Amino acid sequence: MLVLALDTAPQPPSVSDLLRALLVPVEAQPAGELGSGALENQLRAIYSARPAVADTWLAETLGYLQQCGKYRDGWDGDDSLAPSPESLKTAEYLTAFFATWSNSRRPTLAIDMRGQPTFASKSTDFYLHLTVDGQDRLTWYAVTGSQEHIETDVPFDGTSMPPDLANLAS
Amino acid sequence: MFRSTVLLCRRIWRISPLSTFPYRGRCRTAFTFSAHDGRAGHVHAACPKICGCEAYKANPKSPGRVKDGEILHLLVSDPQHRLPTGEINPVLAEQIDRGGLSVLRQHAADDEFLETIEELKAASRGKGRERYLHGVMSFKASTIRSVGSTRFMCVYDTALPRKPNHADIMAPSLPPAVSKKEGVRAQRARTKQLIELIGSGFESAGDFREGLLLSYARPRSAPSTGENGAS
Repeated sequence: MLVLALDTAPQPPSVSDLLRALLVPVEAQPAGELGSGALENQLRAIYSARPAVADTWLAETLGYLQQCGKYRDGWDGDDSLAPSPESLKTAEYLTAFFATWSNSRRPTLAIDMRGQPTFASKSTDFYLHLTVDGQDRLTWYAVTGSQEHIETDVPFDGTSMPPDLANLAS
Repeated sequence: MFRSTVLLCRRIWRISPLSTFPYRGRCRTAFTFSAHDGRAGHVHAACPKICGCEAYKANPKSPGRVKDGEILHLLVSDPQHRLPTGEINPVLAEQIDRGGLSVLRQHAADDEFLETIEELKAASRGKGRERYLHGVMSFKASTIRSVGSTRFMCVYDTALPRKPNHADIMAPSLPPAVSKKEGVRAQRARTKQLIELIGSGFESAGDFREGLLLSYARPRSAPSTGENGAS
Protein backbone atom coordinates (compact mmCIF):
# COMPACT_ATOMS: atom_id res chain seq x y z
CA MET A 1 0.00 0.00 0.00
CA LEU A 2 1.35 3.37 -0.98
CA VAL A 3 1.18 6.01 1.69
CA LEU A 4 1.86 9.62 0.88
CA ALA A 5 3.03 11.69 3.78
CA LEU A 6 2.42 15.36 3.18
CA ASP A 7 4.59 17.81 5.02
CA THR A 8 2.12 20.39 6.22
CA ALA A 9 4.58 22.26 8.40
CA PRO A 10 4.78 25.92 7.35
CA GLN A 11 7.88 26.69 5.31
CA PRO A 12 10.03 29.64 6.37
CA PRO A 13 9.91 32.55 3.93
CA SER A 14 12.76 32.74 1.42
CA VAL A 15 15.11 35.70 1.29
CA SER A 16 13.34 36.83 -1.88
CA ASP A 17 9.96 36.70 -0.14
CA LEU A 18 11.27 38.82 2.69
CA LEU A 19 12.92 41.31 0.36
CA ARG A 20 9.74 41.61 -1.70
CA ALA A 21 7.79 42.26 1.45
CA LEU A 22 10.31 44.92 2.35
CA LEU A 23 9.61 46.68 -0.93
CA VAL A 24 6.45 47.81 0.84
CA PRO A 25 7.37 50.52 3.35
CA VAL A 26 8.18 48.82 6.63
CA GLU A 27 5.91 51.11 8.63
CA ALA A 28 2.97 50.15 6.40
CA GLN A 29 3.24 46.48 7.33
CA PRO A 30 1.51 45.04 10.37
CA ALA A 31 3.79 43.49 12.95
CA GLY A 32 4.64 39.89 12.14
CA GLU A 33 3.58 40.24 8.49
CA LEU A 34 6.96 39.07 7.26
CA GLY A 35 7.10 36.02 9.47
CA SER A 36 9.59 35.81 12.27
CA GLY A 37 13.11 34.77 12.97
CA ALA A 38 16.65 35.95 12.85
CA LEU A 39 16.76 36.25 9.06
CA GLU A 40 13.83 38.67 8.98
CA ASN A 41 15.37 40.78 11.72
CA GLN A 42 18.66 40.76 9.85
CA LEU A 43 17.05 41.82 6.59
CA ARG A 44 15.01 44.50 8.32
CA ALA A 45 18.21 45.83 9.92
CA ILE A 46 20.04 45.79 6.60
CA TYR A 47 17.24 47.33 4.65
CA SER A 48 16.16 49.93 7.17
CA ALA A 49 19.29 51.86 6.19
CA ARG A 50 17.45 52.79 2.97
CA PRO A 51 13.89 53.80 2.23
CA ALA A 52 12.03 50.79 0.87
CA VAL A 53 9.80 52.69 -1.52
CA ALA A 54 9.79 52.22 -5.30
CA ASP A 55 13.04 50.26 -5.33
CA THR A 56 13.26 49.42 -9.02
CA TRP A 57 16.72 47.85 -8.75
CA LEU A 58 15.60 45.42 -6.07
CA ALA A 59 12.37 44.50 -7.81
CA GLU A 60 14.18 43.88 -11.13
CA THR A 61 16.98 41.89 -9.52
CA LEU A 62 14.56 39.64 -7.64
CA GLY A 63 12.46 39.17 -10.77
CA TYR A 64 15.55 38.22 -12.74
CA LEU A 65 16.64 35.75 -10.05
CA GLN A 66 13.25 34.10 -10.19
CA GLN A 67 13.50 33.70 -13.97
CA CYS A 68 17.03 32.31 -13.75
CA GLY A 69 15.76 29.49 -11.57
CA LYS A 70 13.95 28.14 -14.64
CA TYR A 71 17.05 28.00 -16.84
CA ARG A 72 18.15 24.60 -18.08
CA ASP A 73 21.51 23.60 -19.56
CA GLY A 74 21.73 25.10 -23.05
CA TRP A 75 19.67 28.20 -22.14
CA ASP A 76 22.20 30.39 -23.99
CA GLY A 77 23.41 27.92 -26.60
CA ASP A 78 24.93 24.46 -26.44
CA ASP A 79 27.85 25.46 -24.23
CA SER A 80 25.84 27.24 -21.55
CA LEU A 81 25.17 25.71 -18.15
CA ALA A 82 22.18 26.41 -15.95
CA PRO A 83 22.82 28.11 -12.60
CA SER A 84 22.58 25.77 -9.63
CA PRO A 85 19.88 26.41 -7.00
CA GLU A 86 22.66 26.83 -4.44
CA SER A 87 24.42 29.55 -6.42
CA LEU A 88 21.12 31.37 -6.94
CA LYS A 89 20.48 31.21 -3.21
CA THR A 90 23.88 32.79 -2.61
CA ALA A 91 23.04 35.47 -5.18
CA GLU A 92 19.80 36.10 -3.32
CA TYR A 93 21.65 36.71 -0.06
CA LEU A 94 24.12 38.98 -1.83
CA THR A 95 21.22 40.95 -3.28
CA ALA A 96 20.03 41.65 0.25
CA PHE A 97 23.41 43.15 1.10
CA PHE A 98 23.82 45.05 -2.16
CA ALA A 99 20.40 46.61 -1.52
CA THR A 100 22.08 48.74 1.14
CA TRP A 101 24.61 50.18 -1.32
CA SER A 102 24.19 53.54 -2.99
CA ASN A 103 22.38 53.54 -6.34
CA SER A 104 25.56 54.36 -8.24
CA ARG A 105 27.32 51.25 -6.94
CA ARG A 106 24.49 48.71 -6.83
CA PRO A 107 25.51 46.00 -9.28
CA THR A 108 23.57 44.48 -12.17
CA LEU A 109 22.95 40.74 -11.88
CA ALA A 110 23.40 38.44 -14.87
CA ILE A 111 24.20 34.76 -15.39
CA ASP A 112 27.31 33.80 -17.33
CA MET A 113 27.74 30.89 -19.72
CA ARG A 114 29.05 28.67 -16.91
CA GLY A 115 25.89 29.28 -14.91
CA GLN A 116 27.62 31.57 -12.44
CA PRO A 117 25.59 34.48 -11.07
CA THR A 118 27.61 37.61 -11.79
CA PHE A 119 27.21 41.06 -10.27
CA ALA A 120 28.70 43.97 -12.21
CA SER A 121 28.77 47.70 -11.58
CA LYS A 122 30.53 50.57 -13.32
CA SER A 123 30.75 54.30 -12.89
CA THR A 124 33.46 56.90 -13.41
CA ASP A 125 35.42 55.93 -10.29
CA PHE A 126 34.11 52.46 -9.54
CA TYR A 127 34.07 49.05 -11.17
CA LEU A 128 32.99 45.69 -9.77
CA HIS A 129 32.93 42.26 -11.41
CA LEU A 130 31.89 39.63 -8.85
CA THR A 131 31.06 35.99 -9.51
CA VAL A 132 29.40 33.42 -7.29
CA ASP A 133 31.63 30.36 -7.57
CA GLY A 134 29.44 27.52 -6.38
CA GLN A 135 27.35 27.68 -3.27
CA ASP A 136 29.46 29.66 -0.87
CA ARG A 137 32.49 31.12 -2.62
CA LEU A 138 32.92 34.56 -4.15
CA THR A 139 35.54 35.99 -6.50
CA TRP A 140 35.68 39.66 -7.31
CA TYR A 141 37.75 42.22 -9.14
CA ALA A 142 37.10 45.85 -8.33
CA VAL A 143 38.60 49.22 -9.09
CA THR A 144 38.05 52.22 -6.84
CA GLY A 145 39.66 55.35 -8.17
CA SER A 146 43.01 54.06 -9.42
CA GLN A 147 43.27 51.18 -6.95
CA GLU A 148 42.63 47.58 -7.96
CA HIS A 149 41.14 45.01 -5.57
CA ILE A 150 41.15 41.30 -6.30
CA GLU A 151 39.91 38.47 -4.08
CA THR A 152 39.35 34.84 -5.04
CA ASP A 153 37.49 31.98 -3.35
CA VAL A 154 36.24 34.09 -0.46
CA PRO A 155 33.83 32.13 1.80
CA PHE A 156 30.31 33.59 2.07
CA ASP A 157 27.52 31.95 4.07
CA GLY A 158 24.95 34.71 3.74
CA THR A 159 25.12 35.92 7.31
CA SER A 160 27.44 38.85 6.67
CA MET A 161 29.18 40.39 3.73
CA PRO A 162 32.94 39.72 3.56
CA PRO A 163 34.61 42.83 5.05
CA ASP A 164 36.76 43.52 1.97
CA LEU A 165 33.62 43.51 -0.18
CA ALA A 166 31.65 45.60 2.29
CA ASN A 167 34.45 48.18 2.18
CA LEU A 168 33.72 48.76 -1.50
CA ALA A 169 30.28 50.14 -0.65
CA SER A 170 31.56 53.68 -0.28
CA MET B 1 76.36 36.71 -52.02
CA PHE B 2 75.17 33.40 -50.59
CA ARG B 3 73.72 35.14 -47.53
CA SER B 4 71.78 37.71 -49.56
CA THR B 5 70.39 34.96 -51.76
CA VAL B 6 69.18 33.07 -48.70
CA LEU B 7 67.56 36.22 -47.31
CA LEU B 8 65.87 36.91 -50.63
CA CYS B 9 64.53 33.37 -50.83
CA ARG B 10 63.26 33.64 -47.27
CA ARG B 11 61.41 36.89 -48.08
CA ILE B 12 59.84 35.39 -51.16
CA TRP B 13 58.75 32.34 -49.15
CA ARG B 14 57.20 34.50 -46.43
CA ILE B 15 54.96 36.39 -48.87
CA SER B 16 54.03 33.36 -50.91
CA PRO B 17 50.61 31.78 -50.26
CA LEU B 18 52.30 28.41 -49.77
CA SER B 19 54.11 29.58 -46.64
CA THR B 20 50.81 30.32 -44.88
CA PHE B 21 49.15 27.09 -45.95
CA PRO B 22 49.72 25.07 -42.75
CA TYR B 23 48.40 27.90 -40.57
CA ARG B 24 45.24 28.29 -42.61
CA GLY B 25 44.37 24.65 -41.96
CA ARG B 26 45.24 24.92 -38.29
CA CYS B 27 43.17 28.09 -37.90
CA ARG B 28 40.16 26.55 -39.60
CA THR B 29 40.42 23.51 -37.33
CA ALA B 30 40.76 25.72 -34.26
CA PHE B 31 37.63 27.68 -35.21
CA THR B 32 35.61 24.45 -35.03
CA PHE B 33 36.24 23.99 -31.30
CA SER B 34 33.47 24.88 -28.87
CA ALA B 35 33.66 27.42 -26.06
CA HIS B 36 33.64 24.52 -23.62
CA ASP B 37 36.77 23.10 -25.28
CA GLY B 38 38.64 26.39 -25.08
CA ARG B 39 38.10 27.67 -28.62
CA ALA B 40 39.87 30.98 -28.05
CA GLY B 41 42.97 29.25 -26.74
CA HIS B 42 43.08 26.85 -29.70
CA VAL B 43 42.76 29.71 -32.18
CA HIS B 44 45.51 31.65 -30.44
CA ALA B 45 47.81 28.61 -30.48
CA ALA B 46 47.13 27.80 -34.14
CA CYS B 47 49.44 30.50 -35.44
CA PRO B 48 52.76 31.73 -34.03
CA LYS B 49 51.91 35.38 -34.69
CA ILE B 50 49.49 37.17 -32.32
CA CYS B 51 46.05 37.17 -33.95
CA GLY B 52 47.66 35.34 -36.87
CA CYS B 53 44.41 33.58 -37.77
CA GLU B 54 42.96 36.98 -38.74
CA ALA B 55 44.60 36.44 -42.11
CA TYR B 56 42.49 33.40 -42.96
CA LYS B 57 38.87 32.79 -43.80
CA ALA B 58 36.99 30.31 -41.66
CA ASN B 59 34.80 29.58 -44.64
CA PRO B 60 35.64 29.86 -48.35
CA LYS B 61 32.46 31.90 -48.94
CA SER B 62 33.39 34.65 -46.50
CA PRO B 63 33.88 38.20 -47.78
CA GLY B 64 37.47 38.18 -46.46
CA ARG B 65 39.53 39.53 -43.59
CA VAL B 66 37.77 41.95 -41.25
CA LYS B 67 39.11 45.41 -42.05
CA ASP B 68 40.02 47.94 -39.36
CA GLY B 69 37.42 50.43 -40.53
CA GLU B 70 34.53 47.99 -40.47
CA ILE B 71 31.67 48.50 -38.03
CA LEU B 72 30.85 45.43 -35.93
CA HIS B 73 27.37 44.78 -34.54
CA LEU B 74 26.83 42.93 -31.27
CA LEU B 75 23.30 41.71 -30.63
CA VAL B 76 22.16 42.20 -27.05
CA SER B 77 19.20 40.08 -26.03
CA ASP B 78 18.68 41.30 -22.53
CA PRO B 79 18.65 44.64 -20.70
CA GLN B 80 20.76 43.00 -17.97
CA HIS B 81 23.58 42.84 -20.47
CA ARG B 82 23.99 46.58 -20.58
CA LEU B 83 25.22 48.35 -17.48
CA PRO B 84 23.59 51.62 -16.41
CA THR B 85 26.50 53.41 -18.13
CA GLY B 86 25.31 51.95 -21.44
CA GLU B 87 28.39 49.72 -21.73
CA ILE B 88 28.19 45.94 -22.03
CA ASN B 89 28.09 43.66 -19.01
CA PRO B 90 31.28 41.66 -18.26
CA VAL B 91 29.33 38.40 -18.76
CA LEU B 92 29.22 39.29 -22.45
CA ALA B 93 32.73 40.67 -22.72
CA GLU B 94 34.41 37.73 -21.02
CA GLN B 95 33.41 35.43 -23.88
CA ILE B 96 36.60 36.67 -25.57
CA ASP B 97 38.46 34.13 -23.44
CA ARG B 98 36.19 31.19 -24.29
CA GLY B 99 34.19 30.76 -27.48
CA GLY B 100 34.60 34.31 -28.74
CA LEU B 101 32.28 37.29 -28.72
CA SER B 102 30.05 36.82 -31.71
CA VAL B 103 29.29 39.81 -33.97
CA LEU B 104 27.93 40.59 -37.42
CA ARG B 105 29.96 42.74 -39.78
CA GLN B 106 29.00 46.07 -41.27
CA HIS B 107 27.90 44.67 -44.62
CA ALA B 108 25.78 41.87 -43.19
CA ALA B 109 22.47 41.60 -45.01
CA ASP B 110 19.22 42.07 -43.14
CA ASP B 111 18.58 38.35 -43.54
CA GLU B 112 21.76 37.57 -41.59
CA PHE B 113 20.44 39.49 -38.59
CA LEU B 114 17.06 37.80 -38.82
CA GLU B 115 18.70 34.39 -39.19
CA THR B 116 20.87 35.03 -36.14
CA ILE B 117 17.96 36.01 -33.92
CA GLU B 118 15.87 33.06 -35.07
CA GLU B 119 18.75 30.73 -34.26
CA LEU B 120 19.15 32.26 -30.81
CA LYS B 121 15.46 31.92 -30.10
CA ALA B 122 15.45 28.31 -31.28
CA ALA B 123 18.49 27.47 -29.14
CA SER B 124 16.81 28.82 -25.98
CA ARG B 125 13.43 27.23 -26.64
CA GLY B 126 12.50 24.68 -24.03
CA LYS B 127 15.46 25.69 -21.84
CA GLY B 128 13.51 27.93 -19.49
CA ARG B 129 14.38 31.16 -21.20
CA GLU B 130 12.33 33.29 -23.54
CA ARG B 131 14.64 35.25 -25.77
CA TYR B 132 14.00 38.71 -27.15
CA LEU B 133 16.23 41.33 -28.71
CA HIS B 134 17.08 44.33 -26.57
CA GLY B 135 19.19 46.11 -29.19
CA VAL B 136 22.48 46.29 -31.05
CA MET B 137 25.84 47.67 -29.89
CA SER B 138 28.00 48.97 -32.74
CA PHE B 139 31.72 49.81 -32.79
CA LYS B 140 34.67 49.91 -35.16
CA ALA B 141 37.02 46.93 -35.39
CA SER B 142 40.02 49.23 -35.06
CA THR B 143 38.91 50.47 -31.63
CA ILE B 144 39.45 47.06 -30.07
CA ARG B 145 42.20 45.59 -32.24
CA SER B 146 45.01 47.67 -30.84
CA VAL B 147 45.71 49.93 -27.91
CA GLY B 148 48.45 52.27 -29.03
CA SER B 149 50.88 50.07 -30.91
CA THR B 150 50.01 46.93 -28.91
CA ARG B 151 47.63 44.30 -30.21
CA PHE B 152 44.64 43.96 -27.88
CA MET B 153 41.82 41.91 -29.41
CA CYS B 154 41.71 39.67 -32.46
CA VAL B 155 38.76 40.02 -34.84
CA TYR B 156 38.43 36.85 -36.88
CA ASP B 157 36.47 36.30 -40.03
CA THR B 158 34.35 33.32 -38.95
CA ALA B 159 31.78 33.20 -41.74
CA LEU B 160 28.99 30.67 -41.30
CA PRO B 161 26.95 28.98 -44.05
CA ARG B 162 24.00 31.41 -43.96
CA LYS B 163 25.86 34.19 -42.21
CA PRO B 164 28.89 35.06 -44.36
CA ASN B 165 29.40 38.29 -42.43
CA HIS B 166 29.81 36.60 -39.10
CA ALA B 167 32.94 37.41 -37.06
CA ASP B 168 34.32 36.54 -33.64
CA ILE B 169 36.27 38.69 -31.22
CA MET B 170 38.78 36.70 -29.20
CA ALA B 171 41.56 37.63 -26.85
CA PRO B 172 45.14 36.50 -27.24
CA SER B 173 46.17 34.11 -24.46
CA LEU B 174 47.58 35.88 -21.42
CA PRO B 175 51.07 35.02 -20.20
CA PRO B 176 51.10 32.29 -17.51
CA ALA B 177 50.17 33.86 -14.17
CA VAL B 178 52.23 33.39 -11.01
CA SER B 179 49.07 32.71 -9.00
CA LYS B 180 45.36 32.14 -9.48
CA LYS B 181 44.66 35.58 -8.06
CA GLU B 182 47.01 37.26 -10.53
CA GLY B 183 45.46 35.29 -13.40
CA VAL B 184 41.94 36.40 -12.47
CA ARG B 185 43.16 39.99 -12.04
CA ALA B 186 44.77 40.10 -15.48
CA GLN B 187 41.75 38.54 -17.17
CA ARG B 188 39.16 40.76 -15.51
CA ALA B 189 41.22 43.92 -15.98
CA ARG B 190 41.38 43.13 -19.69
CA THR B 191 37.62 42.52 -19.77
CA LYS B 192 37.09 45.95 -18.18
CA GLN B 193 39.33 47.57 -20.78
CA LEU B 194 37.40 45.91 -23.60
CA ILE B 195 34.09 47.13 -22.16
CA GLU B 196 35.46 50.68 -22.18
CA LEU B 197 36.82 50.41 -25.72
CA ILE B 198 33.53 49.06 -27.10
CA GLY B 199 31.81 52.02 -25.49
CA SER B 200 28.08 52.65 -25.40
CA GLY B 201 27.02 53.00 -29.04
CA PHE B 202 23.60 51.37 -28.95
CA GLU B 203 20.41 51.25 -30.98
CA SER B 204 17.27 49.64 -29.63
CA ALA B 205 15.62 46.76 -31.48
CA GLY B 206 13.07 49.25 -32.81
CA ASP B 207 15.65 51.75 -34.08
CA PHE B 208 18.24 49.49 -35.70
CA ARG B 209 18.06 49.51 -39.52
CA GLU B 210 14.77 51.36 -39.50
CA GLY B 211 12.92 48.89 -37.33
CA LEU B 212 14.09 45.70 -39.04
CA LEU B 213 14.22 43.87 -35.71
CA LEU B 214 11.30 45.54 -33.94
CA SER B 215 9.19 42.37 -33.89
CA TYR B 216 11.85 40.70 -31.73
CA ALA B 217 11.78 43.37 -29.02
CA ARG B 218 10.55 42.39 -25.60
CA PRO B 219 6.84 43.13 -25.12
CA ARG B 220 6.30 45.64 -22.34
CA SER B 221 4.42 43.06 -20.27
CA ALA B 222 7.14 40.38 -20.49
CA PRO B 223 9.48 39.95 -17.50
CA SER B 224 12.97 41.32 -17.95
CA THR B 225 15.28 38.35 -18.24
CA GLY B 226 17.54 36.57 -20.67
CA GLU B 227 20.92 37.01 -22.22
CA ASN B 228 23.12 38.02 -25.07
CA GLY B 229 24.68 36.82 -28.19
CA ALA B 230 25.04 36.90 -31.90
CA SER B 231 26.07 33.45 -32.92
